[in-house]
Amino acid sequence: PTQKRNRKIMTEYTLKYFDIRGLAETSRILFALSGTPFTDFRFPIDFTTWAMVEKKNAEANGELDINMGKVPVLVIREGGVTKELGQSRTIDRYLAKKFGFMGTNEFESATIDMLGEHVRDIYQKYSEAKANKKGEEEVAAKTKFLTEEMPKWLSKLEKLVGSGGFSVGGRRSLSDVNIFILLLDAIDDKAGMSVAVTAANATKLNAIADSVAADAKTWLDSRPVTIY
Amino acid sequence: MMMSTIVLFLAGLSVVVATTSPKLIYFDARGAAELSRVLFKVGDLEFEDFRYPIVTKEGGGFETSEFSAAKSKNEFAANMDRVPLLEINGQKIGQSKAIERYIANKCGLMGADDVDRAIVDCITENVRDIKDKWGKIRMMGGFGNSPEKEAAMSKWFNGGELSEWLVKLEKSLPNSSSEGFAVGSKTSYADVSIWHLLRDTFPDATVVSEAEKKAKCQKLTKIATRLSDLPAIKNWIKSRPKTVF
Repeated sequence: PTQKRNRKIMTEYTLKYFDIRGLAETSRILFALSGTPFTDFRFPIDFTTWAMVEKKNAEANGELDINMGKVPVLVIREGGVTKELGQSRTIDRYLAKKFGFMGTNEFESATIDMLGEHVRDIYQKYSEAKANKKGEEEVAAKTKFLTEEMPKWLSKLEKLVGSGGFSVGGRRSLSDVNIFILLLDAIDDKAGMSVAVTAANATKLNAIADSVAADAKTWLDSRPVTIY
Repeated sequence: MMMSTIVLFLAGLSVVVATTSPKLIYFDARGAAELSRVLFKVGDLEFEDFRYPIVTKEGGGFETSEFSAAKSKNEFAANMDRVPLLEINGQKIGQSKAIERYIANKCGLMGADDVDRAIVDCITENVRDIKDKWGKIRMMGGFGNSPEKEAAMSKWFNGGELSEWLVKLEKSLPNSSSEGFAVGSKTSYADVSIWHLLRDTFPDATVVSEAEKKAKCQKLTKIATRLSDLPAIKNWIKSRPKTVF
């Protein structure tokens, strides 16, 4: 008897962002954790002049309209149809759902969503603390926040996550990746952040970050090395 | 006599069988909870609208003693000691945006499929970005006024900053959407958030209308108008507690 071949429709993903980790790194890690290939398109930035010609051209061409002229943008090509998504966290949530990293029921999903927003808030407070400051003043502001404020926030977040390396539901989720980025990837003062984690006694958060680092090792070891 | 007794008995039974409605916990203010309340109304899902009182103190400032008491008992731990919170059958979700997405999902306001869902999510985040920029201006130096704040407000309205954002927001809407709908042809969280931005955020309606005209954002205006006319929204605006913010 002849065997019917099931042609699986392949989805092609292109993630367009700057050549930095920044707001796109969570999505890149999600691709890596799920073993899904994607085109990692990077607009160059000249860090001395802050020139970003290619990104500006894309903006002028309307390629970034879905994200109000900003990056990242995710282009999804499936079965001849192209759709675009903007907003880094929307892209994160979309990919997480697609790859099974948004929990197994609506409450888990909402909890993962909530934890992601908590991480966003904490990083925003860190950003605000150092905003509009340069040189030594900026370093001092960052250190002050990491010493005085970060441990308080980490303590609150610690109460809300699971143990064993998983924040929700005992399995890998988007909020694990958010936590990894906060604890081990986004903040340049690694030693300062490590002290904050210890001061907060954030053993569960630490385990989650380490767990993601282990699972995403191949990507983390091979990805472009960038300042931000 | 017999019929009414049976009816009363059945009514009593149904009360016992019903699950408790979700409880939205916030201050007695619109603030970060209002969009959630409107979503419940548009989605026709019953909820308990729990509000902590805000009392203005003589000589300025606010008092929120019931909130403070509950906070000290760790009742808001899920939201890192803040409100709003959504309590569903004893479980708590924090973060206004996570709550909104949960409600929208429950009420069928998140688009027709996975990609549409993400586009709805994207547009609401675009709206959030605009509201956040306005929020920074509004809270510049605290609640009071200042020359810097006035200059920033002037730039936002008369100076065309809001209009520029509305142009970008309009361009972010998919071309395939039906007229009066942000995504597809069903009312979604994106529509509600656009309505909320244009009709329930800024104190002066004429100034917003001027900004819309300047931006020529016909799609956004049509969406806001359609939502304004929904009975659920009309009734809520009429009946909701009137608060300063």
